[in-house]
Amino acid sequence: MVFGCIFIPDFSVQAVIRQEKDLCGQPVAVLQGAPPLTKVVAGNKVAKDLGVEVGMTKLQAECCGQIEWRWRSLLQEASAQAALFDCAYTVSPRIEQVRNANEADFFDCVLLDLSGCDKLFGSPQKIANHLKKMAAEVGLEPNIAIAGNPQVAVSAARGFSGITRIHSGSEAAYIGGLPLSSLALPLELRETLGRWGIHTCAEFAALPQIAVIERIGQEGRRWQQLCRGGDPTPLIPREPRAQFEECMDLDFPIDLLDPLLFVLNRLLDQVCIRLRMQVLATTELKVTLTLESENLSRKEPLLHIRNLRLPVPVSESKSLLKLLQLDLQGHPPSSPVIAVRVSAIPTRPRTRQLGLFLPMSPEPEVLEITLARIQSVVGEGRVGSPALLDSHRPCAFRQDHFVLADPCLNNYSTDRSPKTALRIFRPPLPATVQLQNEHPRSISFENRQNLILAFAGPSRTSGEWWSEAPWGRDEWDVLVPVARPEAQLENSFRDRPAKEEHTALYRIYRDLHSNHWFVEGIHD
Amino acid sequence: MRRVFTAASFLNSPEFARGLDGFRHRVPAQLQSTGISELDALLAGGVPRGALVELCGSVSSGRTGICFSLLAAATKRQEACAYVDVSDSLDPLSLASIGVDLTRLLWIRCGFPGSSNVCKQNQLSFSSKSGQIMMGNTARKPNRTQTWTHPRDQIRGIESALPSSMRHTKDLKIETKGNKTPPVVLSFPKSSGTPSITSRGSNALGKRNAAFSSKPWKRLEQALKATDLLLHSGGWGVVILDLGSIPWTDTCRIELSTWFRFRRTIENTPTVLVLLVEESCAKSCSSLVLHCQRKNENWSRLNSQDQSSGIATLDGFQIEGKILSSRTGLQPMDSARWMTNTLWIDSF
Repeated sequence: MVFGCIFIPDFSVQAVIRQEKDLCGQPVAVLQGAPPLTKVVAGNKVAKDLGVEVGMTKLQAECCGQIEWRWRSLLQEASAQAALFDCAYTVSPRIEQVRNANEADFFDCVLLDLSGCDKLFGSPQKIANHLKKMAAEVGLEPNIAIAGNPQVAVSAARGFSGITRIHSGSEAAYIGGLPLSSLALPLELRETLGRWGIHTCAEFAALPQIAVIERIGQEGRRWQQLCRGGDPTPLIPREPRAQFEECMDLDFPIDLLDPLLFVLNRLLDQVCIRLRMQVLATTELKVTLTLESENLSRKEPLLHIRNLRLPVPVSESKSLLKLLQLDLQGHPPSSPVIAVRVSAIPTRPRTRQLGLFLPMSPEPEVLEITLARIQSVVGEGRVGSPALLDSHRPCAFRQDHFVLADPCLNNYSTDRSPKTALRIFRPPLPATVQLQNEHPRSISFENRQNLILAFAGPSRTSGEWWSEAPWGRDEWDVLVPVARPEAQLENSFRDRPAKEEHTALYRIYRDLHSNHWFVEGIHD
Repeated sequence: MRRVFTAASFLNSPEFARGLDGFRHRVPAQLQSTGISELDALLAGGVPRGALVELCGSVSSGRTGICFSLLAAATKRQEACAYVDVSDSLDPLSLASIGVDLTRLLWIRCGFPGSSNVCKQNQLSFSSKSGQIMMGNTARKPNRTQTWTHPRDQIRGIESALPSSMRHTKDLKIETKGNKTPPVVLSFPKSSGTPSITSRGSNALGKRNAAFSSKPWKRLEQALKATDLLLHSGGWGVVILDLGSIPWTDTCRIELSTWFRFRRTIENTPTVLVLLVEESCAKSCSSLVLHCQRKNENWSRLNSQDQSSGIATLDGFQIEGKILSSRTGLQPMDSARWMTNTLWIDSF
């Protein structure tokens, strides 16, 4: 059996740097604790070379030189852990997260069972290169070790930088040179061994086993066995949680859209990369913006949450960013933003079979962005496909979100005689109608009064008499003369007479409840 | 032996002849049936694809019915269609009765202030903790010397170019900010800024945004911008820009470059862009201009001798369609007539 281990050194620092790639190569230290007890909890190699040590106060560390300070963010570390898990999942489904020796809820190491993976990815060296590449895509710089023993792989990854391949039988030789700090020894045991003058794994492995058991117990025997390259502890795989979430705490509040989009772009990139790693897409994106609150006594954070629901699964960050931009332009938050969280609900990606004779239709991703842009121009609720309601009430319709329908056999027949259409006035125009022998004689609306040349009706319709909003009307179709502007007549084509009579067919109705007249529309 | 390239050799080359053959034997434009057999016969098959078609005529001339028939034919072929409704006058019941598949039709209703205007108001009302007005990052001001504007924005501010007699000066608020594109400042919209809504007479059923409706240019701006976005996204079978309720005096002031840009966008695509107008305004940009006129109404009366009996129904009217100009080889002034029925005739 072959096992691999991915270890992220200085995990807290890397969790910060993966979201701020500008900090790569610079000395970075992570602080934790409220002042004046603020202490350094982690620092990268460059910072340690300058003299920064874990446990220093900020004041002490500031004397070491120009250091980039960041506050520790548990949310960012959780996102980094999830990203690390996703990287490992691209190679093997049997994965175990290994806790940090010092913190119980801290996973900076992932153990993989690589049995059978050589058929897909090749030799262990190729697998290690692939894992390193995947980790780099999510912004992490790992140490990778491959061995025949899980704990040996973990120890080697913690102790050696880069990629380490330990062949079967040489575990003791590799592990022997490592200091005891590379093992996840409890602090008390490490101090005890330190007092005995034992500092390396080889020295610990050379101690007589019975003496170790007598003084330390079975736990000591297990650690000694590990230092000798053998440990029967099996890998306990964990089911991956389908949680794709990235977050970032901002150093200063953002009140402009452009810098906020810059932050969102980074987070969306990471989310989409992790989705693609597991061959997934998303149809629902949730963006939570933590806002700066002016009320200092407020305990709960002020949040601005936006949900984006997409008709088709998407895994491209560009499309999602554009949709978010249009959404935030229409629904801006009420205060500057101090933290951003992006989470995606995973789903299977869209599969479709292309064909030569498919009907023409817009691309779904492009269509969604176009609809969002048009909506920002004309307003919300004004863009969509009409749908008739199951009601006889006039103008009973709703507007649904436009979704491309799948090609299907339809029963629509166009062997119909040509029909007239009605152009509706929204809302209906109030009118005054003069009656003669209960027939409309003249009508006035919009500051115009016209004689009615011909009419048809009335047609009575009514409904919902049982409800609180019954309706009823008497409808007429009337022929009314229409005046054309002089400019239009002058520019008419030569073969048409300059002054020709124009009439229009209106649909008018009298509301039975209010007894008012309205002009509903024009037949055209 | 080195071949010397000369103009004469190029003219005699097979490559040039191949191109010339392509010019001589131009591929005929694909046609989209209108769904009306008489009109299809007049147009030798239908309206040309990848072209701008104008349907002009006065009110009640039947042009909207022709548009709906065109949509029905396109949606029957399961093509996605779009209707840019400048005056918000589309009747979904008419669409359904003519046979349009409503699920394949995108309806864009113009005539609302929209979110972009709300956001612009928010820029001025956002304030920081100290109470100072924050207008954005002053270090990133746009270049003041830039004079080029995107064609999509050329329609903006056109109301200021109109003579005063054409404007409603009381309701008009012109923002002469030139070419500035200030950054969007995030802030919550305050409860102000919506234009005052006045009701028409004693209409208690609904209120129209009178300030907005009295400014057709705002609706036109929205409609042209939406049409531009639709055409650029591509994939549409028929796109209809309904300017039928906009007076001819306003539509003729739309810059010709707008129609030219639309035509170029849909060239070599299967999309048909139909303009529904009172009078032709796209001039040479349109490949087909069809004029519609209502000829006779069909009133069915119990007593045909007595027109004042009132017991009657409007069963339809006759429409005459006349070709005013065509780039597809059709003869101008050719016409055709057909009868239309109202919605309740031949109901399904």
